[in-house]
Amino acid sequence: MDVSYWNRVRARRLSRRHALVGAGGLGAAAFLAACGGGKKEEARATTAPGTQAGAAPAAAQPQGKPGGTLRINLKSAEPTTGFDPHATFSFRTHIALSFTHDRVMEFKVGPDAGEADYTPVPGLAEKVETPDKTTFVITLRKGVKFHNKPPVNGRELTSADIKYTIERMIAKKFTYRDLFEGLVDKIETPDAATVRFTLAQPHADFLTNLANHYSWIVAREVDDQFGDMKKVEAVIGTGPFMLESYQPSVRAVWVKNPNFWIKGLPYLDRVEAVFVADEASNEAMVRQGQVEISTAILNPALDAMKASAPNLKWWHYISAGGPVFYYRNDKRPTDDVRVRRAIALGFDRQSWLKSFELGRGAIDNGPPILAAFKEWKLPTEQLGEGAQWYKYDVAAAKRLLAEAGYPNGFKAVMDAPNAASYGQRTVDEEELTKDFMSKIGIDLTINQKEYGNWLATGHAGIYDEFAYGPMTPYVSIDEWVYGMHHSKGGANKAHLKDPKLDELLEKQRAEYDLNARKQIVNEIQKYVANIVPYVWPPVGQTNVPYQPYVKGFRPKAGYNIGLVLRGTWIEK
Amino acid sequence: MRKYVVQRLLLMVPTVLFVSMVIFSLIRLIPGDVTQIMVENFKYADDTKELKRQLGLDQPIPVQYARWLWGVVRGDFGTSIWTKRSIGDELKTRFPVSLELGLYAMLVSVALAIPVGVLAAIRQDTWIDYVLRTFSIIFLSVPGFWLATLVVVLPSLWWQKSPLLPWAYFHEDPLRNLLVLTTPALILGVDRAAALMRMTRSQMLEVLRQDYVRTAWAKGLRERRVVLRHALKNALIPVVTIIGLQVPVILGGSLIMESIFNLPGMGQFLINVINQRDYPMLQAITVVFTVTVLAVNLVVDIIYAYLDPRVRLG
Repeated sequence: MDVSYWNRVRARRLSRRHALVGAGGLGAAAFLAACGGGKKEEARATTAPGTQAGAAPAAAQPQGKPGGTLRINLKSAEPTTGFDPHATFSFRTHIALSFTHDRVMEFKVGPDAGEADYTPVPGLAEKVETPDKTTFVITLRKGVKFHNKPPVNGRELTSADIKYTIERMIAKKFTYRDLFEGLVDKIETPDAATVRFTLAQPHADFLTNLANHYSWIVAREVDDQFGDMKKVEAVIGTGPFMLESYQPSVRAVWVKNPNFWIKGLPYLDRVEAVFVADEASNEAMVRQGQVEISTAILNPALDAMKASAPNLKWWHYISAGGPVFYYRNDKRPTDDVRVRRAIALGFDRQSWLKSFELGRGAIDNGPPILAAFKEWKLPTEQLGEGAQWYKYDVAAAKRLLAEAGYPNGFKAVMDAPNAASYGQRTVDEEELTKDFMSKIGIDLTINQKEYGNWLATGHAGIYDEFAYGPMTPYVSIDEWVYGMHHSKGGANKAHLKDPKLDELLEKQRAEYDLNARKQIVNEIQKYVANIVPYVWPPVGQTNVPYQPYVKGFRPKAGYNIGLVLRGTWIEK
Repeated sequence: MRKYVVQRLLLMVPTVLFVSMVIFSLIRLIPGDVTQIMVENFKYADDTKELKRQLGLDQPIPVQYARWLWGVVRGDFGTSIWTKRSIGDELKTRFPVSLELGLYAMLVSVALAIPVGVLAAIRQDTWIDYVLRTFSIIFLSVPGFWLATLVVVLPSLWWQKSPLLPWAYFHEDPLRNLLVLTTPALILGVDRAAALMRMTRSQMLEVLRQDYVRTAWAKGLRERRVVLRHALKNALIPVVTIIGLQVPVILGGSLIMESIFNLPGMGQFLINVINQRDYPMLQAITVVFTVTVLAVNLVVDIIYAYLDPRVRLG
């Protein structure tokens, strides 16, 4: 992995406005069925326990121009990590699969969908019903077929495939099985078009989990035939494109799936991707029109690019991924809230953003909800008592450290990934963090770790004092708040054990009413801001250039490029 | 001659064995455990112990080495522990790209350096000599990666054109293949030509002052004959040595060029392989590089005999 990964895995904001609409004071779901591109099919429905409702998409009315080949530079997102949808969290695999695979739910895409809009809308699902808070009944679209490749040979998707996919993730102990493990009590398939999920407890983001990129739907026969799904031949889904060829280090080619379940889509006959990670070459290719789209131009090169290629069109958005600086909330000296507050006060966000992004991005990022999740994030000034810890004030930080019994500061070790893990940029960030802390008297020694070791230790929350590293770019609010702060949260890297916070986190998870849940999440943000379990650095802006003759294109954060391109066309 | 070549080929065997042993041991001493990455990030197995067993990494290093060597002797380099792709197939695709780039760069280097070096020598201390030496110093000083970046960026800024072209293999589209390789080969070649040109010039100056050359002049031979027939051949012996020594440098330089020009050769791939600790792949690449360097040195030694009849091989 490399630095550009975190620049690419951009801003995401979970808008549940359309996903869960309160009805009768209890959970409700409203789904926008968006099929991307120049065409929309929308339906809203409100579901409350005991009632049934669904969203049946209207017939697609494609407006784009069919045909043509689109060339894209996916930079370092080459699928060298294989193609198994569930075995890895590598962006390299998931970006490639976004062309070929679908999910039960997906994220809203198209010109009117924000880059970080994580509204879950029906994908393979035609209708979702929630008769009660722990039951989700999914009715699948009719006529959805797998790619016409052996051993599946274009057979129709059934509910058994959904059940197999989820059970595969859990049974094979794949990394992100906790999206469903312990949460899904039972999966039933009363008929070929119906899947009934019974949850062990209510979960407001269950539909987002079904839209998560780890939830690509696969067919059992592929596993049976190939042993696993890492091989090129095993890339068989129901998605808009079929993988025609993959030449390592050269290109990947996807061709239109003629049997795609949205009639008329995709518009493009062919997508050719190259993997040019070198920034100068990437910029030159875009400038001279050798590719129609590049997944990112770095902020330091943005002005020069715009000046030298004025005809290019651009999308800019704020990343929802990024690094986090953390420390043991259960061990001295950082178990003392005054020390943690001093750390937050000593973190110079302004100079951070200037150093790495030439000031382009968002300083007000976290805690703990990232800037990109605009509908959920409370601005710092609204964080109440906790807001005071997020301005840069070295003198105040030193005072707090002295009050905590460290007038001369202290020494500590910060575990962090090495340059080979995520690139030099991460190492530069580690150094700047160390520099910030040295100014308030905390002398950090950086203990750089090799990638595998880092994943198994610091990234997994196993470290002694301090740690620093990139975060998984979660797509649901529950992952950001519950996962990182609950004493039993899977990503509780800070080792928090706060019964009051646990209670709030459980409450938001069980709350299906959007407005009511937002109130709880606001309360969580204020609480977390005041106890400072993590420090969130600012986040940069992603810049996506595309040629003016590319239409219907609006990028989507995360691993959704194939989803976006199904509604994109070329009009020369 | 045949005896000499056979002897040299036989001598290559212990060298390759020694290098492979060193590499085999050293890459296992790099901090970090490949199986940890494979389990934590990619779920290749439930735990590292199981994965090590599957990959044979639970065996003592000498046993692993013996198994690997037995495979190589039978022409089987094994498979990548990550992708399961055959290493032989991977090398068949990638090595020709690096080899082609290396040969192309070498050709550029020699084609530039020798005529320019000769010209600078026979026009010593004239403006021609000064200009050529100045350029050689400039190209010696300018890093190849910087030059490559400029060559990619500036034309795209000024004329919306750049030498970046979509890759095609030689068997798919020979013309496109050569076009794609031309710019990186020129940059690599010019970079190497500078040193070679200076060596050619200094050797020519030395030879041109020798008695037998003076005799040739005294006999009234034409300049072309004196320079090319009598002087150049002798001056080339150390130059050929330098050409041989440049092979590993060009192989190293191709790594950067392949990255900038998006070429599917061994360079960028090698970096990925090292980062991923793909042991069998790394060992195979190392052996191929070692054999290439040894083979080039053998060719250089054979060329000595051609250039200087006093050198008797075997």
